[in-house]
Amino acid sequence: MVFSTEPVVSVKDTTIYQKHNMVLTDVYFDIRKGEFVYLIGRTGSGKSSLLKILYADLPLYSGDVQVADMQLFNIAKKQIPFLRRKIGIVFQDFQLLTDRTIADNLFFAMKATGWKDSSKMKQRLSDVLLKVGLGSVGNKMPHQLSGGEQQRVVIARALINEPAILFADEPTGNLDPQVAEEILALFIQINHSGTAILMGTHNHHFLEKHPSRVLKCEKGKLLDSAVQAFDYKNIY
Amino acid sequence: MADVPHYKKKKLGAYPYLSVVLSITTALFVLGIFTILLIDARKIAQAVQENLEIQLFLNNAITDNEKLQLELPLTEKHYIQQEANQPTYSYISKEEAAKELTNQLEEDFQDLLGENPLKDSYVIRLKANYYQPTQLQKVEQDLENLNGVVDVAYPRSLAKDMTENIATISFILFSFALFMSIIVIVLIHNTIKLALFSQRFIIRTMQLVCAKNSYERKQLLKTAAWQGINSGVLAFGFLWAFIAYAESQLEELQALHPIEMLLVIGLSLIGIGVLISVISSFRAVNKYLAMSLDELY
Repeated sequence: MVFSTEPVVSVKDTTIYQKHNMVLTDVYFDIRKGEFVYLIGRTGSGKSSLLKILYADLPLYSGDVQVADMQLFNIAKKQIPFLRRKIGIVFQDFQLLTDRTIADNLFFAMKATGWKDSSKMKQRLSDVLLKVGLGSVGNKMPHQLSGGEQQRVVIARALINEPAILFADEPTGNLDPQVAEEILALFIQINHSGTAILMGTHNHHFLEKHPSRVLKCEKGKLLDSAVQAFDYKNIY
Repeated sequence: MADVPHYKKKKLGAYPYLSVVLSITTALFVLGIFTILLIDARKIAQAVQENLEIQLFLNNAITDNEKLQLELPLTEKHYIQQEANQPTYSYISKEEAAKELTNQLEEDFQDLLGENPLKDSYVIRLKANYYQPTQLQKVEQDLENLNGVVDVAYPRSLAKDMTENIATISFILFSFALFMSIIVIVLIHNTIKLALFSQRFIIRTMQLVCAKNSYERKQLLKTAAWQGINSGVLAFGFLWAFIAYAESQLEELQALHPIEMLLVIGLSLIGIGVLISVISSFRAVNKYLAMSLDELY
């Protein structure tokens, strides 16, 4: 794969806090366009906090973080929606709107990000559902789908605005191994079409099956397999 | 997608629109009933007051010409009840008065006394707001100053009692209505707060899928405005039905409820419904929009 040199995510000299506790210090890393990066580490090691910083769900107190050309330090609340339009977020707990159908979930995300033309919206709806391998689920409610299907819908939602990068926080944490691998395959497929991916995971089978760059949160530091070799084979 | 039947069951976790609308409807209905009760009470009180008559007794010595001259100042008094913009007063000669008294006594007192001791008089009625004791005194003085009037008579204690009773009843009703309004506002506010509390994670999810706060607010306030309108219309419908039933039972009530008045009350109910609904939603939504995930749990 050929990576362009422009970073989508650039983190320099950053400290990550969870509430008032420091969880990671001296964090430096870049993610380039089209890269596939795993983020691993024990529960509580700061993985989720780092991801939340990157999609501005946690405030950045110190450091220099740029995501999709936006500076996150002291980012104005009003700017956050515009940041989130340039990125896609996939959650472990799906975060679908449980009160409406799959189609309405995706339409909501479109309308919220300024889509107006209903025929274009319908077109995009079938495009993204097709991309994640779901056909006729538009009229179903989220709870009528299996976990794997729900996660596919979440990925479809994240893809709506053709993001430069997908942040996924343990996207397969709630799924059985078989389905988890299908979801991984989906992420790889999306990555091949040029979208960078940063995936937090506990699943070391993924790293064997699809080796790629790894960031590891350990003892308050972030290790980067692109900078130094470290052992990530025997993680939980 | 044709093979998937459209999902019609109660949507899980959906905004409890119907319950909220019904709660607001009930609250507005009670408020409407009280408003009408308050207005009815005022109207009845006014009608009772306006039935009170004031008699101006005339000097026996004045001539018919002078009597007629008295009518001009009477037409100019602004406190006298008007009918078609003309002050209403009636003249009772002492002969007519004697006849009436004889009928009441069932005995001819003129035979007994040998003469008619009664006086000619004008009978007037005042506008309702001139029955306050202080106003009444001024009116009385003003009338006594008229040339040819020797005495001004009206049921003093009745006028006094009536004014006092009406004041007391109005005060009680008004405080009750005020109290009711506060209850209604608190009730609607809490209902909406709870309804949106049930939506707090959905609000957060919307934020995470990059909805601007202003967009979410707009969506939720639109819902709130509609639920206010629907509740107001429903409450008005119930109120209308209630009054129609009451009037069918007691026809006298019809005069008290002109259609314009009901329409004004209906529009007010809708307005109040929308206002409270939107303000409450606005406050609650802003609260949840500003909260972090930890605070939401």
